Amino acid sequence: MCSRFPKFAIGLALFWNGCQTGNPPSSAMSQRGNQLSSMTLGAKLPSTRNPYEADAEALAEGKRLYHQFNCSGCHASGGGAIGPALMDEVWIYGNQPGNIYSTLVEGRPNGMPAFGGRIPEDKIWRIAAFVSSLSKPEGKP
Amino acid sequence: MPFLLMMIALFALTSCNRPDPSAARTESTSFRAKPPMGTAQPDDGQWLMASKDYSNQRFSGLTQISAANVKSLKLEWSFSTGVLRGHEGAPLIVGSTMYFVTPYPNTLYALDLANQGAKKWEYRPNPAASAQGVACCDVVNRGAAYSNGKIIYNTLDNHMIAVNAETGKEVWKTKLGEINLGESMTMAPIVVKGKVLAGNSGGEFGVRGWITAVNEVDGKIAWRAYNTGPDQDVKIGTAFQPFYARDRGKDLGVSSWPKDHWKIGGGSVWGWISYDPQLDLIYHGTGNPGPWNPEMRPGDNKWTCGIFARRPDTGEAVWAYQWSPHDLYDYDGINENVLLDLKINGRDRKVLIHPERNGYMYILDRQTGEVLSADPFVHITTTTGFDLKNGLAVENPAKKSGLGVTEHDLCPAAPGGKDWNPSSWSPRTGLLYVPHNNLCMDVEGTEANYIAGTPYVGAVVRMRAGPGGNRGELSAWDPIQRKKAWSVKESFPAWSGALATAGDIVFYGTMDRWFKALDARTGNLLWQHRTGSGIIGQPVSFLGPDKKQYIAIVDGVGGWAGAIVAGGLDARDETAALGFVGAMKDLPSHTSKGGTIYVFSLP
Repeated sequence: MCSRFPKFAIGLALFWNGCQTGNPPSSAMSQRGNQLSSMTLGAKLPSTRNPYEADAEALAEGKRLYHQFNCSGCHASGGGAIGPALMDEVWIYGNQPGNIYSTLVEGRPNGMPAFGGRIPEDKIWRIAAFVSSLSKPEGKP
Repeated sequence: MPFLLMMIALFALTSCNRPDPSAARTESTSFRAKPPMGTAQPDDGQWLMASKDYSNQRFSGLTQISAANVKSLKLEWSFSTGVLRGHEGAPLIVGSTMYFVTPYPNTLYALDLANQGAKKWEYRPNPAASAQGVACCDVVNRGAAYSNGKIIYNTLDNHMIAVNAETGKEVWKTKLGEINLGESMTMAPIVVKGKVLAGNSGGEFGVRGWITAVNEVDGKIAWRAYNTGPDQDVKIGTAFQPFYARDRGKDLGVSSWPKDHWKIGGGSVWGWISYDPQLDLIYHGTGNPGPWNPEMRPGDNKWTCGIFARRPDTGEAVWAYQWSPHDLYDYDGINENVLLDLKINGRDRKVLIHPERNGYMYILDRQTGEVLSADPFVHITTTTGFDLKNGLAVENPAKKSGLGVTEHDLCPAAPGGKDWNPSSWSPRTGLLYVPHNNLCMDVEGTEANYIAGTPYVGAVVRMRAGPGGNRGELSAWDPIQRKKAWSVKESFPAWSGALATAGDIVFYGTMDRWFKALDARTGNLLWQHRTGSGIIGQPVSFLGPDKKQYIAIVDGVGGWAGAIVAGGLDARDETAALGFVGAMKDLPSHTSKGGTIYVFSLP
């Protein structure tokens, strides 16, 4: 695991693994995951670094997950559709890794679903890293 | 009783006793299916449902504005809706009031026609914001219906609402669908025999399509018919007599799918409903099957991409037909079915004419569901011709996209030869005026995962202009000659509705901000007006309280075609907006967002 991986995220990852080995009902798991995300992470998140932001392998995996979990259904290949474009420089809910993570886990009121509990934390960070990498100044392909 | 109260009570009584503007007229005069050269009946000057009348002809019988004087048409007043998403709706005109439903948040406005559009009231239904996340193609609303003192419409978050037309107060509100299952509602309802009919949207979200009848009086659900699944749910019973043998059999809505796939198979109802009072049949199309990737759903996928004739009282299906069994290209079958009585080969036939997304102009016998003719009105590569013996277009095996395979030059593209935007029929010229597309696409099939409330598509699409480079066209179709009498090319897809009038003019709007009037007989441009934003709305015509004829249109670019502007999408991604951005990269340099009602008249 990357040394920059934030402590609370390690905790979450462990929590996740623990849940998986214990085989609790998945709904309970997702509820607890959501609670944990919003309660303990909320304020600190925006300044957090994403452990995968420069990890090419993780970005490739993030891209695969981005399609697998239907992110592409609403955001296309970053140009947007039902949801906003991700490849431009406009970030409605913030461009910090923690903002992106929160958006994925908790959803946003104008239609972004909450994926907390549906996708393991570690994979959410990989998707967040890929989403972050999509944003490029206009004029660059 | 205090004097004031008594006066109010008296006033209320008087206003209730006024002849109802809808009831009698909808039955007697607004069903206008007739031989094409027949004379139009007198128009009452109102516009009580989005499609004007049960036959969906959208013909205004008013004659003050004519081909001879339309060049003098001037803007009388305008009104900002305060919303900047795609405005696909038709205003209604009831007595001296105009009503308009905005895109999400679906505000209903009442404007005073006796006072230059002064605002009488507004009604805000406050739909759930999360509904925006399940609207495939912008957060549009296509209009309302008036009946017995009520304006009735659907909200994006699946509520049908009746509002008192005089006071703006809610009469009833009924929840019909679930955002969490990917459902939304965008279509304009119609009212038939005391029942309000409407269906769900969500063909890109793995919904199960339905049409529902709600009692006009109390808002209670009278019946619901699904378009996939067991016969009992589809309301297929002993009265069901489809014309073609392939459509006969038990529970075809189950057996024409992989196991249980019909539960998330689409077949939504988001377009137009017409009604023939003599035959007592309603006609509605059904949307695409889900996901788009066809490899995941072998079979005919009944009853998606088709049409049903049903009894309005019960929903019972009388016949059904699929324009595109096992759809490969997102060719929803929901376009308008315009009811006409035509003399074909010397025989009087009760028909419906349907400009289908697959690129063919269909004429069906509306009593039996038999395809009488089907002729291409756009460039087609996805099929190679039409087999009238079995009533189906002939598939082109070279154009089947699959998992991981990119298939090129599929024409028409996913929005079809023509999308939702309704045509208009003139009984005076015998022509159907069809605003439509000229688009092709490349498609790659991908694996689609069903996650409730998220997209279920499985296709990467890139669209572009079809042959000739123009992306749109307005065609005048002659159903007897089975060809275009004339057509006008447009740079962008013609995504607005059309309006034909007894003044022999055709009105429509363009995405690059022109509201146009053409000579209905020649297609010559007679007048045009620059609007603030591109137009994807539905023009209407009416008589004001001053007995003058008016024309109204609402601008506000958006919808699927205009998502690049309405949603602020990024032109660098050709696959954005389900591939439509590939064909619309230059739209932002022609229009920005808007949302304004414009009313025109002669000086």
